[in-house]
Amino acid sequence: MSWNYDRSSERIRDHLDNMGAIEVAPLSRDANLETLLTETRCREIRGAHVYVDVPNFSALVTGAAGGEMPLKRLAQAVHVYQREVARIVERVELFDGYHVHFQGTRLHALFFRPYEDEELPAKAALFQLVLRQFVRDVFNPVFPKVADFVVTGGAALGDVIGTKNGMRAERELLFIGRPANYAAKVLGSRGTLTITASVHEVLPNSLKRGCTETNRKGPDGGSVYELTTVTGEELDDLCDEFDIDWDVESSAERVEEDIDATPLSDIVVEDALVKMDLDTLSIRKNKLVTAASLFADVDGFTRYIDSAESDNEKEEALRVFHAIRREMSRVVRLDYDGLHVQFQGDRLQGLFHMPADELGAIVTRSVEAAVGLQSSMLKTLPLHVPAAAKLGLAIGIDVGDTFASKLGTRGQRDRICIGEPVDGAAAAQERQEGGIIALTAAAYAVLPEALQQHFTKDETTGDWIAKDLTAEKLERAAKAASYGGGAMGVHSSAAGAFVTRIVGGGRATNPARSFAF
Amino acid sequence: MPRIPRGRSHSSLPHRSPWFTRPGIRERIERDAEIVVSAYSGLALRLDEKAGTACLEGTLVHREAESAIPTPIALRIVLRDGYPRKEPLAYETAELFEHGNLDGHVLREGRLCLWLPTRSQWRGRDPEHSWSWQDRDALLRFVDQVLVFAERHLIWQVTRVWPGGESAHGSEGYIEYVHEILSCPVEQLLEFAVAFGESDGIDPYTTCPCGSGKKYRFCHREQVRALRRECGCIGPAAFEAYGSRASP
Ligand SMILES: [Zn+2]
Ligand SMILES: [Zn+2]
Repeated sequence: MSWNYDRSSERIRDHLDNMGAIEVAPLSRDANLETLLTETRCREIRGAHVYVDVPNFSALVTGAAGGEMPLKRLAQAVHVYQREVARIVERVELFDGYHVHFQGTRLHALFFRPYEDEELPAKAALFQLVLRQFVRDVFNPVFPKVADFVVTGGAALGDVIGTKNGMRAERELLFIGRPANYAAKVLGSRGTLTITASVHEVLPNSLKRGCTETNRKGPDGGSVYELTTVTGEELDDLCDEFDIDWDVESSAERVEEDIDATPLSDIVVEDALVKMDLDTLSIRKNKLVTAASLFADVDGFTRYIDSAESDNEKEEALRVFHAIRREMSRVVRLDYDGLHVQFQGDRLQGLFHMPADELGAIVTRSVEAAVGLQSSMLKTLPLHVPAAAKLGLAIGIDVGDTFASKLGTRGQRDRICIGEPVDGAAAAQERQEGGIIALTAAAYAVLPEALQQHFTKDETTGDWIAKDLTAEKLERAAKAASYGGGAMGVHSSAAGAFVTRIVGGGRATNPARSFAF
Repeated sequence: MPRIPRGRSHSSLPHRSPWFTRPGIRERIERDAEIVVSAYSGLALRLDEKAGTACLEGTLVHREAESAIPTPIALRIVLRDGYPRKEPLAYETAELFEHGNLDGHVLREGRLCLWLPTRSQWRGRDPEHSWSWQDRDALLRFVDQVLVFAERHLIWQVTRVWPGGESAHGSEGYIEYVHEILSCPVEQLLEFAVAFGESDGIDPYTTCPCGSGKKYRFCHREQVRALRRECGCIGPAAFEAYGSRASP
């Protein structure tokens, strides 16, 4: 199976025909987002978005790849970290927020209320401080052999639209709009906790006091503020002030319980000889594979949805969004037999690891999928959603050892991939604009020449890039070999004309010896 | 849009009817066009009596395979005074093709260089081909050849290598042709070069450059003169350049 124009066009049309009317309304009551939101029932949600990252995990995968014990310990650390962090976000007596998902080990959390709540910005700041303390005083001491982790965080405030993708087994809540992006983009250098001016402005004095203005400009053009260090006692006081019942001792107890429940002896990290089913993975069952990571981001989409003002415009933007993201996922899963890891807002994360351990073939498939994605974006999506013509896909690909698992126990569980190639692919994508496929040097190096010829080196980034590379260009390059072997078949109908290598049912035509004066 | 030469135009003679209204010609054009349009529905016949032009114009939708991405190609196939004996000319009119890049075999005004005139399939001169303008479906076969050409140009845009055979550009293409017909070593070919100047510069009573020992007049003269008529005048510099490339 590979990308095909007619099939792509038909499934986009079918999806849109069956989608039904989209409703976008402000979130007006306390509700479980997982049952409230659907593909067509979308809500505008005002809230504080927080991203928290522990960047060193990826390097550990590379370092641990050779040994069984380091890998098991790493798997245990990842899962235990996620469980306690998710509890801190979600428990009512703690931050009473929502963990959107983990992107690898990077958490996206959302604190929201269906009414104006001035404590939301305070939570967005305090949550980062609590996580810093948690990692330093609870997590690191429990996992001394793994690494000395450091927390990096960012927060932004504002309205996003919440929706859900349609697939039952892979259901994911999706939040699109600037604030969700800003929180990720305000993330600073390692170990810094940052907030945008929009959060800082409405911060209570007790927290504002602990902020310093940095010389960075935020993604919204405003100042970026950094939360400075607070002592343990100061943090306790802040938690009291905002009714957050978190302390080091109880947190440490919960972590110990998790470790006791899943000792290293119960944990398996193995390779995959057949295509993985990420949904069967868990703390007990993890995978380490040679894989190509692919990130495809809809460049310009956030701008597009934020410029929608009337309800009609918003609904149309959501329709466009669902058409694009559904098609992206189908190209990866159905056309190229890849894994859909997750959506990160309007960005798709995919993974390719078959045929097992065949580096060149794995990257080839991921690049072909990227070309399929560009083909949908440039050729078939605009037929059904004209607004897609103004958007573009930026795609990044990298390859190497990748740890894969599924986090959590119940409710929202996250498929995750961790490893330097995951970060590498994301970074390659983030450096590019719409229309570009960017390969890291490692991914480019293992490609067959037939595919390499479509890429040129981008001297500023070191990546290998191709612009507007769509399926017909690969087909053309492949078709060159059909010439020089005598008569070919010409076929024509109302749908178009094509030439086949053997005459078949076509009109025999001998390619002339071309000439120019 | 590039300017397209319109063939021999009669517009300067307002009282004369355009060439395609001569008895039988219009019928032949309309019949040929009908066959083409039944296969390529995006093309339509345009007869402009005022301007005296006849062409098939429109869009040919090319795909790499049956359900692959469609690429619309804007075409104009100009029928000239003298049609059907005289070969049509094909132009790409939306600059999807690289006009003026001879490696892509498209001239500056978008004209497609399908073949060396001496190898014209339309005139039934290509030994590998078995059709000519006299066939009922000649114009359709011509458009088929345009489609194949279009695909090759699109391949070339990706790979920068012209797929399938091509003749060298300019005079060299003709010399290549002459060389092939005479099928002799390069040194002998160069001796024939003087026959392609303003007049046949080989003395009819010297020994033929082919080395047969016969006099030129009774050996290759007729064949060479026929080639000279086909290819036109080719300067000695072009032969020299060809020679130095062929035997470095
Ligand atoms: Zn995006
Ligand atoms: Zn002779």
